[in-house]
Amino acid sequence: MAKKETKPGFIVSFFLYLANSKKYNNFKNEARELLHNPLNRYKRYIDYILIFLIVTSVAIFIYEVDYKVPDWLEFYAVYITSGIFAIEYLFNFWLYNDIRKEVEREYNDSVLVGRKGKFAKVIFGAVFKKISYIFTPVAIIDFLAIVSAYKTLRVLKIFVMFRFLKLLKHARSIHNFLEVLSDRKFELITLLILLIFVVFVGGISMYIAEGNKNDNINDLFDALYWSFITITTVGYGDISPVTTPGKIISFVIIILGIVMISFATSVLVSAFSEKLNELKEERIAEHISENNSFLIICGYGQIARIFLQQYAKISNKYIILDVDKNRVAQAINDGHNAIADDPSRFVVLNRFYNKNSKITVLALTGSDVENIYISLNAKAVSKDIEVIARASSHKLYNKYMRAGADRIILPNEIASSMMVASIVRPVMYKAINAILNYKDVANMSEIFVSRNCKIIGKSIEEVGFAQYKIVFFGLQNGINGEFKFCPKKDYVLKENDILVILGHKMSIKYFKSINNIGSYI
Amino acid sequence: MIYLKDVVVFGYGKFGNSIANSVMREKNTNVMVAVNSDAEYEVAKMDRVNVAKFNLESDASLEELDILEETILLCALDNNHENLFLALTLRGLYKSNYIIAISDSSHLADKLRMAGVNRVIDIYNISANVIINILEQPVASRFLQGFINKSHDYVFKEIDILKGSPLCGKKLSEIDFNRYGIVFIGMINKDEGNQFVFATVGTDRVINEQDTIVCVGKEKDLIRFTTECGGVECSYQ
Repeated sequence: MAKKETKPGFIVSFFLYLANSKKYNNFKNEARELLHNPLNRYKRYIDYILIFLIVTSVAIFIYEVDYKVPDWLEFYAVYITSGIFAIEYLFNFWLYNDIRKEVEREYNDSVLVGRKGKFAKVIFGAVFKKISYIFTPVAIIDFLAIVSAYKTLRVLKIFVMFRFLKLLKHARSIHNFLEVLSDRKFELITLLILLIFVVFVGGISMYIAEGNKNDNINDLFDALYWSFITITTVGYGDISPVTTPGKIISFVIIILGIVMISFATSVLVSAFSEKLNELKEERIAEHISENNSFLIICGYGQIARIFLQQYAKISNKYIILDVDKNRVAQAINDGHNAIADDPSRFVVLNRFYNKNSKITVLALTGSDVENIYISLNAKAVSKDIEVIARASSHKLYNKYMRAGADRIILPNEIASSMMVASIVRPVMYKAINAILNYKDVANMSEIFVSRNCKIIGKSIEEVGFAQYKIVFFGLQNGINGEFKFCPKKDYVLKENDILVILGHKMSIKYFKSINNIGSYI
Repeated sequence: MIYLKDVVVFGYGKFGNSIANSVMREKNTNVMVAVNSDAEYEVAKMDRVNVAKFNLESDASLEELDILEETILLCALDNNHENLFLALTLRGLYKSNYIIAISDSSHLADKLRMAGVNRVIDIYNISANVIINILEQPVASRFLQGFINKSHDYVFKEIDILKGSPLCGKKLSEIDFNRYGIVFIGMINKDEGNQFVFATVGTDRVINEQDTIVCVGKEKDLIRFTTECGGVECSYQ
């Protein structure tokens, strides 16, 4: 197919070069993650640093009003802080939009349909959009926070406050408060209009009623001021009605004031209580996804409850997701972290995903359909997420495998096998039951041979498990190695070997401490 | 010598079905299923299971079932309340039979024990423990699970030490189990009603005739050990 060659100009080539540069794209993505993604674990530290700079510099400016500050402090408050704010400002300006992507899109479109690229229009549009960033409220505050440090502007003391306004962006609790206000914009604006209307009506009525009879009301502004102070239930008392009509107007204004204040309070309280739950859940989610490894338990039914009674003693790095609000309330009541959300939705699991963490999803709901869906969903978020799913029947085993479940728990089968064992192989049943129920005498444990371990390089005979009253079953090298049962006595232990042993809880503890063995998971 | 065990599984629903089938797969068992619902009866018939019907509220119908003194009774009805009622009735009718019941909560497990059940298998408790094991000890849990679901060839074996065995008079520490590729894990204490005692607490005692030791290993290695040490596979295995 004949292709119409359009040779891009220098500027277009430059943007196309940027669009194709892996390094540039990675750098920009990393920067965006760090500055704009609230889930990024390092963003919080950047916020802390900026908050520190804001608070300390403002404190210095305030101190400076009456006292002389040392030069180095002045230098810090003016140049260093402003310099850092300026860098942040430039970064935000740079990250606001991607000119290169728009140019690339236009280039690809034009090549595809064989038309001439309208690059000038696209570049101007994108540059215009970038410049528009300067006029966004956030950018204006940021800009004023930078320039407020300069002596000439600092004379106008109010400018220092702009620096404080910058806190809105970095201190999350203030940010959340503003979000609540913006969520209830409609109600609050309605209320504000009503307030203005009543203040005006009240003020004008008062002016007409007492304008020439009350010594304290000299003009309409005084009347409006009185109306406002009364309606907000502040009531300074500097102006008060002196005539009967004026007093009647007061009655009405006071009642309306109480009504409006209650209305505003109820709007804000309900918005806050809604938001508070959301915020709490968000914090829990963030907190949990900061761990190097954690569990997401889907469904808080019988099995999850019993599981957590044990597991909560070992670790607190887990979170429960359940669609049913009652079960979530029950989980919270039982002292667990739980969120009412649907784990079969991509966004729900995705918000926990953190490529540096080892995540295990336990699909323990009572429904196979849900569990399979959750398994698939977890694998869709990332193949690295380990999934342990509960299945009701062996017939569904293959379905779970296809859905990507790494381990499948069949409670009925396990119970059946244990029941059979208790009839046919009673001794084995007793042993396994004791091990599974964490009886002190029968603790099955794994020992990871790390570099610092004292047993490294020793043969099994030299380690002498028997003298610690420990039963040594076998070992495997690395988590994916093959398990060797009862290796020969002269087998020399090497790094990354995982030994499976059985012993009394105390014997194992002692054995581990003597040989410098830590836990490995 | 191997005894055939008579087992009656009560219920053929969610739990009973899988339990009955697991027990039937064992070669030394003789299984009968008893059900109290027509639907379960039909399913059992279709599965060609030896099935009988009973009425939970009629003791006579339970007495009609062919239950001997040694018959093991498994209560596995889907309904918790019915299962408890059944266990209570069976204990009343059959004083000395071994009764095993399933439970899905610790509260029910306690009630079943109060009703006279000899062994309670708590479905969710076991599963929850299995999950913890998988998370905390992946390698050990796989090994342990292998005994239950037979995904590996290692088995537990109880070995009776006979008179004249070369092991008699030897201390446990003197016996080289490793040479046979087997692991010694404990002994059966006959003085205390056949209690299993883990090697993890036992002292280095001397082995006498009539003792029963418990080892883990591959079937063929265990047989080799048993023959060479002059023992015999425990009679109730």
